[in-house]
Amino acid sequence: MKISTFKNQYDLIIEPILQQDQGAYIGRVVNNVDTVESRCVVNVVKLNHTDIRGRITSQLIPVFDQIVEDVTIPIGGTAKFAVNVKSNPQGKKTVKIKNKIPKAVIRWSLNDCAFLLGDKNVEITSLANGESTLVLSNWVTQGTIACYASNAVGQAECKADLSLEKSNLERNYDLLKEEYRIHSGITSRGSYSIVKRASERKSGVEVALKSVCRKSVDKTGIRQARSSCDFSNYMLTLFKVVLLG
Amino acid sequence: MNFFKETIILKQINHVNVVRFIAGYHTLESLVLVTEWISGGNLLQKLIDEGEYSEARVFFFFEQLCNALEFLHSKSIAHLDLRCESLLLAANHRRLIIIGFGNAREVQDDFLELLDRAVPEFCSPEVARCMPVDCSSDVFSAGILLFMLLTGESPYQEKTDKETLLNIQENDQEKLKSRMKGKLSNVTQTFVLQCLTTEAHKRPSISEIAEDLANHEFSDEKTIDAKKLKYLFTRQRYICRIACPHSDL
Repeated sequence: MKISTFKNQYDLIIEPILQQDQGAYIGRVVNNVDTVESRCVVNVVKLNHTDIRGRITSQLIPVFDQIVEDVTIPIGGTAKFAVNVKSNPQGKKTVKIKNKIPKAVIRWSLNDCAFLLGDKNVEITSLANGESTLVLSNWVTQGTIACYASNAVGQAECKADLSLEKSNLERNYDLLKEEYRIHSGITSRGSYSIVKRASERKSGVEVALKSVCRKSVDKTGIRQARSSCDFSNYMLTLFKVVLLG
Repeated sequence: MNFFKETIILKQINHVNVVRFIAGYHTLESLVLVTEWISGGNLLQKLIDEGEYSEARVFFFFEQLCNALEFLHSKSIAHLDLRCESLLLAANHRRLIIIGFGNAREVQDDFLELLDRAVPEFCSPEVARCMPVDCSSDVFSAGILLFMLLTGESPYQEKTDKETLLNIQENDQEKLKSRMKGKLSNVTQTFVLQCLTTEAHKRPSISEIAEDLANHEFSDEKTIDAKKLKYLFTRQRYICRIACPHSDL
């Protein structure tokens, strides 16, 4: 039997309760001015084995003290999720453990697919005290993150959304599409770029959109231009014969 | 392809014969440059459609090219990628518009720059020799274009790019003269050869060429057959088609 206090709250805890603990209990608060009381009666009921098993089972299912929260990251960013599961490292499979909760196994998944061990972008840490973290680095997939804590008695789960925020570059692309209606088909093609015809949505004025692939920006050189020229010259000797007779 | 330089340079140019810059967007996959739409098509295509044309017709467009280059050079900007694809026409088919400023750069007297990319057929001897470039390289490329438009032939093109570059380095003026002889008037030949001077410092500036052009009259007689130009145009289109850059547009 013990009394715990927290701020102005006082708890009397009787654990384990026995038949002889049955009776009236009075909580009395006294100061220099007055005395107040609170009364209650405790009845102790003897249960059969099945009832005990059922009650214990409900207490042994893992419980999340801390659940995952929604996270939004930029494309290629890092997302971190953390949970804390009430668990008992010494717990065994059966109800022999009595009032102790069996140790829970924690699993993480994204969109119902479990994370693969060994993926260099996924780091899962589970500690004996029930803490577990999931860190996703260089991440480009969004969806629902789920955390399952299971033991021999049952399973608990919590879920959160992992969203990718639109980068400035993506917003620029959306902006471009909002400003201009891009016509299908390529008007002309250069060695490193294509040109498409478009019209400004507001005014209807036609414009040309020259698109240069980012990957090619730093890779181009006179040698590349030469190689394409050489190939075309070889092929075009045939055309020359036809055109010029 | 220096997209960022192209954007910066186009932003500061406002000339009737230069494509007008509207906006630039950096997207996830691409760098997108928005410019005015030029609906008149390629200059070569226009001349091919005419079937036969005169020297005066060519110089009508060449004068506009000189005006644009004069404006660029006055701002110390060298285009450095003049070729057939760079010359388009406005809707009225009379106004020439220069595009393709991917190689363009601001040339400084105290800072010599090498050009690391160019189409061999249109490059100047200094580019072919990996020497520093300046605005005079544009004059040489303009000379190559002039030669092409007047004769329907590429002055230095060989079977391979290596041979083409060696040909430009050598730049045999006598060979060029013999190819123009009987086809072009003496005045025109002189213009072409002036532009195609091997040494950059001996080459006339674009202002001097523009001034000379104003003092001469060229033949209106339609003596140039567009048949050969058709081959050049087909080749140009083919070169463009074998390249397939990726874009998210």
